[in-house]
This record gives sequence, C-alpha cells and structure tokens, in this order.
Amino acid sequence: MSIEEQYDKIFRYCYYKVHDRHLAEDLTQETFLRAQKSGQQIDVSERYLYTIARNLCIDEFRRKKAEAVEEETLEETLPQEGFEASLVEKIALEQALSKLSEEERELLILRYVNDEPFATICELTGISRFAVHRRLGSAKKKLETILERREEHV
Amino acid sequence: MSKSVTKLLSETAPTPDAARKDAFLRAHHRAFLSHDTSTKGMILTQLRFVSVWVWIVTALMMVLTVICVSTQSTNLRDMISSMMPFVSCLAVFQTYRSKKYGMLELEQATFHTGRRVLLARISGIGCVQLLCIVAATALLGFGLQRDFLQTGYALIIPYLLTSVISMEVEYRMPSNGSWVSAGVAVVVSVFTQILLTDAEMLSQIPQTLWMVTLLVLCISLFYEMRKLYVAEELAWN
Repeated sequence: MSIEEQYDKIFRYCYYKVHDRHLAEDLTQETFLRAQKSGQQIDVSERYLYTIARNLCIDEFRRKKAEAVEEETLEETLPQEGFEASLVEKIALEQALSKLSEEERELLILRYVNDEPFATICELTGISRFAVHRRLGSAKKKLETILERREEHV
Repeated sequence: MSKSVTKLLSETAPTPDAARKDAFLRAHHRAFLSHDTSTKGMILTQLRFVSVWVWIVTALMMVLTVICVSTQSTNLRDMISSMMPFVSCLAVFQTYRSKKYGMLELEQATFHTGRRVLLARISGIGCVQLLCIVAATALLGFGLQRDFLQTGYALIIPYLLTSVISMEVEYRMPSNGSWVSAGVAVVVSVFTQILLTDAEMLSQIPQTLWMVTLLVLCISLFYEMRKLYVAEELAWN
C-alpha cells in the first residue's frame, strides 16, 4: 500500500473519531511524524500507525472535553431543500454514527470505510474474531435502524 | 433504506485536503521511504522486479534435474542441457528490460546510479542461476554417475554462449534484439542437442578444449558486462 493510501486511511480514522476535518489532518500528520521518529518503516507498519492515531485521538479527547452531541431532532439539523442528495446522506450518516458507541463506530470505520481485514481489526481492538463479527453485525444493524428512523421522520 | 449502510459508509468517506496532504508528504518523503538504501537492499529490490518467468524456468530446470536423477534418464539430462540457452535468454531479456521500455534514463536518476542498478540486476539473476547450475551439475554428476566436469560443461557452456551472444545482440539492436536473442537460444539449443547426442564426437573433444572454451566465454561475458557498465557514461555523453 502506498503512503498516500495510508495517509487517507489514517485521516478517515481520525476524522470519525474527532469529527473535525482540520483536527483530523493535524492528528494524521502527527501520527506519521511520530511513527517516523520511532524508526518504524511506514510502508510495513499500518497497525502501528492506527495505534498511534488512536492514542492521539484519546489524548485529544482528554485535552479538550469531548463535545456532547446535542439531542436535537434530526429534522432540525437536516439541510434545507436544494442540497444534493449525497450531501444529505453524508450529514445523516455522520449524525447517525455519532449516536453509536466509540467501539461500534471504530469497528464500522475500520471495516467498511478503511476496508481493513479482520485480523488487523482484532489486533487493534484486542477482541477476538468472533467478537468482532458479532459486534460489527450489531453496530451495522443499529446504524441501519437509526437511518431508517430518520427516513420515517422525513 | 434506499442504500445499504456499507455502501453508504464507503461512498461518503471524507478525504483529506489534497494540497495540505501533498505538502506534508513532499516535505517528509525521504523519511517515509524505506530506509534500506544499502547495496543489499538495492539488489533485493531489483530481484523483486525480475519477471516471475525467469524464476519459473530456473525452478523447472531444477525440477527436471531431480526427475532426471531419480529416473536415471540420460535423455532428460540432454534436455536440461538444451534448456540452458533459454534460461540464459530470459535472464538477458530482464537485464535489458529497462532500456527496452524507456526506463533506463529514469533509473539512472535514482538514488543509486544506473550502472549499479543494472549490475545489481545482472548479478542477482546470474548468482541465482549459477547456483542452480552448480547444484544441477552436482546432482547429475552424483546421480547419474557421470563425470562432473563433462556434466558441468554441458550445462554452463550453452548458458554462457547464449548469454554472450544475446547480450551483444541486445546491445546492438535494442528494438528487435529480443527476437534475434530468442533465435540465438534456439540455435545454441539445437547445436547442444546435436553435440550431446553424438557420443563419438563428444568423446573426441579433449578436456583442454572444453576448459579453453569455458575460459573464452567467461572473458567474453565479462567484456559484455563491462560494456553495459560503461553504457551509462556513453548515454549521458
């Protein structure tokens, strides 16, 4: 995998953790700099990058208090008519993801956004393959339910 | 739901700011590249770029050697000997691949000089194939109870002869050299078969002549490799 692809993956991972594009970019770059300082070869240490990124995100949460997601109705946050369907979907998805637990979100991002194999997910999360399958399935179902509820409201 | 969740997740994934990403990777690209710029690392990298057919044919030669020893078949031994020109031909193709595909100038501008890259490729393939030839000679010599030197000559001389002629052809004819080299391999192979199957003629060739032939071919190969080595300077001038 090229360094550019790794950069994108770590960025997506950080973005879904901190929900801030600018901050996610900062954390991504900090991840690579720390990996490079430690002497690891970037092109073979994807798991190491994820570990650093995760720790940086946790540090960020501790540094600034995590902003609580306000319990607002979905209709209020949906953009006005005229926006493209893809943008609507994106916003709805991000809101739905924010309603999941940290672990559920992480599993979904690693598996369906970054396309990581189960072995990598197991190593990163420290849970068994069976548990990953089970929790991923339930997280996906939960996300589907949230999105369906949103569609019904609309 | 109109779209599956998994599809939605992958399609709506955010992308980093391209300019910022590019600036960061450019600023630190040296640090993020593999640190292994040693000669050993360069040789291993060049070996990774060698076409898999070279290794398949080399492995096939070894497999046939083992079969030959287990079946005690002299016909198979002669076939292995006739196969050596093609093994050599493939190796020469690989050596000149960069020149053929217009990558030579790009390689000459890399961290290692072009000549080092070229020599790494030749020595990498050459060492592996030479080891296989030595192993095959030993196996056939022990297994078929034949003279080691005779067996060695029967394998190495067609190999070296094809290498020398093919390298000269590729050097002089960069565009059509491959076809001519393949033709050379066929001719040497046929010649080898005729010589080996004619036991009377074979027995009349003195050992000294074999050794002199081998020496001449080694010197010629060295000369061809030296021509490749200085080719970079000629190209730049």
